[in-house]
Amino acid sequence: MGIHLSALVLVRNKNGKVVKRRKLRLHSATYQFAQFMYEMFTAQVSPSIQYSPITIQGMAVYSQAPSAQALTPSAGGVLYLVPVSSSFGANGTTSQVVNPIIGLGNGTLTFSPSIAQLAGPILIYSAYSSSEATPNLTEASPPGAYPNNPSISYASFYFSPAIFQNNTSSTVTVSELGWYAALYLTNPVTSFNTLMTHDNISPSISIAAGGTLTVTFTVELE
Amino acid sequence: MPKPLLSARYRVVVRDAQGRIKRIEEAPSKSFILNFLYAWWLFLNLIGTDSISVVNSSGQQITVTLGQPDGWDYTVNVRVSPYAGIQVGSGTSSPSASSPYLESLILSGTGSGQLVYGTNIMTSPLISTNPGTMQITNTFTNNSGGSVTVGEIGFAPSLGNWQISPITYGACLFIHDVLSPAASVPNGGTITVTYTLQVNT
Repeated sequence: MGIHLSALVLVRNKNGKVVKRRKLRLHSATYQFAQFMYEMFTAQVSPSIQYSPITIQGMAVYSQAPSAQALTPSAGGVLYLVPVSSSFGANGTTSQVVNPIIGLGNGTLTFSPSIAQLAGPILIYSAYSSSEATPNLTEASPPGAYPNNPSISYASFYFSPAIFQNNTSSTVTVSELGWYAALYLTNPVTSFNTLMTHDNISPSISIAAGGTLTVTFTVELE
Repeated sequence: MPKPLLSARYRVVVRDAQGRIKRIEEAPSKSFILNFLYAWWLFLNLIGTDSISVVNSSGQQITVTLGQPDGWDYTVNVRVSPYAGIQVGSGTSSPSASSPYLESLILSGTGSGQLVYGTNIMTSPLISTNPGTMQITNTFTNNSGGSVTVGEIGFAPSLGNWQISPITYGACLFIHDVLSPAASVPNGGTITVTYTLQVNT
């Protein structure tokens, strides 16, 4: 009994035909998840927590591979999970939006709660960004994943699907999946994304050139 | 059965007036309830008119309408004492996922059938083991003059609207378990309830 997170994965070819459909159980929470749960229940942020802020650019996608960084909250700081309908400034600006996002990778994770990033993050670019040279995938349904109303009947709620398009000329392989939640810290004021779950996808999923990958996260009570 | 991302266990220790242990019970928690999903969803999908069911500082069941993201949050130790954190009740019915309250909350006090709620203690997350764990503990003392029967326990962080008028808040039940058989706490004795939250990796 407990709280489960799962992901429905649909792969379509360039003609829009579904060529693969899988439901993945997300098994592995990170230390950041545990730390956030603790902070949620106590409204106290440990001074020793390690988060992994990533560079946010465009609409809720990352344009650089995330790198783990230390974040030391000041006394009295409170951490919030950022609702997706909010618009907090990121990286010192007010024009950027931080949202929960789905991270994709082509590496293989060695499971550890201290993991703060995917092993081989695939760069994902906003559909609105034209400045990137060689994107691996383009997010086709910005700005990210929105949660829908909880279903009492099924004791669950789900995020609206996030769609990633392969605009390269070759197949992109996805072998790891992560959920980056957006967090907001009051002192010092900062907002960032941090890896909450990380799972290998085995066998890996291939997205043909011109095809898309649709990921729908569901939170379930069992 | 795949392991969940988040699960829980509980441990109950009953002592008599001399501090002697009369009963120890430890078991997996069976019932996360829908409040938890609502709370997560409300966090993720801020809409000013959303509301959630809680128990206020008088033990009454109320509804809190939530507001802006910096106007509400979860805590176990402030604002809502004594019913935030660990709760105990006298009910014995099986928990329902859709019920946001204990069947019959035991009020804090020294009257008949009441227990004096202690202070919640929550440990920092321990992640050197798998699953990672964190614990919340509270001890309830029976100064009622007679025995008190505890049939149900729960974990209920406080959740509220701290900054938007009117300020309202309460203990929001996330986990609900029934003790079978119910635990009898003798006069002068205590019952200590510990929930261990497990984050699986």
